[in-house]
Amino acid sequence: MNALPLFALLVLTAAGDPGFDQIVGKVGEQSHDASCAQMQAWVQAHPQDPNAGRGLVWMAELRLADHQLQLARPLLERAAHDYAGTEWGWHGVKGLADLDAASHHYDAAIAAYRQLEALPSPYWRYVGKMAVISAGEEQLRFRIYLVLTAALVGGVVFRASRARSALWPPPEELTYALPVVLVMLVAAMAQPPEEARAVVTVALGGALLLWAHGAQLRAHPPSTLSRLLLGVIGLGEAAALLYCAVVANDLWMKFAETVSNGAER
Amino acid sequence: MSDPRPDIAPPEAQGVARAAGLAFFGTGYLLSYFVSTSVPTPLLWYYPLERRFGFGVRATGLAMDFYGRFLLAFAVGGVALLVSRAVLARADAARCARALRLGMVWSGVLLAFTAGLYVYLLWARTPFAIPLPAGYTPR
Repeated sequence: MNALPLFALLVLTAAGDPGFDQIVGKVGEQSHDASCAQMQAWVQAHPQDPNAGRGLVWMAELRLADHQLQLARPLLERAAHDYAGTEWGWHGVKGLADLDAASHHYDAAIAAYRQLEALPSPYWRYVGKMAVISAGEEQLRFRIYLVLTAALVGGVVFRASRARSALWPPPEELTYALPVVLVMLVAAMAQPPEEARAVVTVALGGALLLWAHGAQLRAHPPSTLSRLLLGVIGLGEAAALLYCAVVANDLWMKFAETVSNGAER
Repeated sequence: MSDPRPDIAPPEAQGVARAAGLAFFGTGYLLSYFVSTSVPTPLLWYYPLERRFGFGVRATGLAMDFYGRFLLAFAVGGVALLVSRAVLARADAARCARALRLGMVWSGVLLAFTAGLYVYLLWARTPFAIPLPAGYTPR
């Protein structure tokens, strides 16, 4: 168990209560762990203070900024439960719904957003309404992603099973595409983590698709019409692979903005 | 009359081997052009207003990357050429022909990929004029 909160409580008691504003003001001067420990101790000492729920949400936001979702969730749950019906309680509900959406539990997230949409406050009605729309769109994209991923994997397995004898040596299609795969993997190293993952997915997934397609063509040479049809299917698979890579790494909004506004340098 | 020395490719393969070397030069050139554009790479920059060269990952002011990027790509292409010539020195005609085909496809694919990268980067770029340097007198 982390002894930091208890230690911070003792320090607070000995040194005098710094107050909510002072703890928040020092966030840039110390680690997030230290800030959260101080705030945790302050909230424990002042559970009835109007800022207590705010303190819990503040700590959750620090944990989310550090990608520590498992530490953020209990804080939001406590805000939503202990301060239910208050402004910070609703922030807790929204935060939990956002975490549910991020982990693809869209039904639970949309139910919570609808709860916010039904509140009398214009702010929460607007936030809830926009969040319901956004989560619904994300849910649809995720379902399409699942279907396309299954189709892509199934297609590769089907082709590989029908062309086992032609899998090695690798077909020329893969050999010819090797420099492109290589430069994509190298370029991925300079990108942010989620973009790097998407680029690697497209590079390696594309190589796998080429391998399966090439092996199938070697093992069962098609007629001209079938070759055309396979080419169209191949293009569709490439588009599906790109879609899956973008959606799986939460890059949809960034992708849409880049397509409409161009690249930033 | 063929050369009896075992470490030299037959005459019919030598021309193809030279062509393959040039194709791999193109591959190396375009590979480094793409990588140096997409990954922060130390380059030689020319600062035209200051009339000096500088070396670094990013320029500090108005600068041209063309010379540095060209030199880098040329050097990498040169290395690819030399390596391919060494590898194909004793290859037969069929192997040289395959190498030529591979080099040409790789160069073509990388040309399309690198051109696509530059179209993507430059499509939406809006150039803006920087202030003229102090003391500048138009001719």
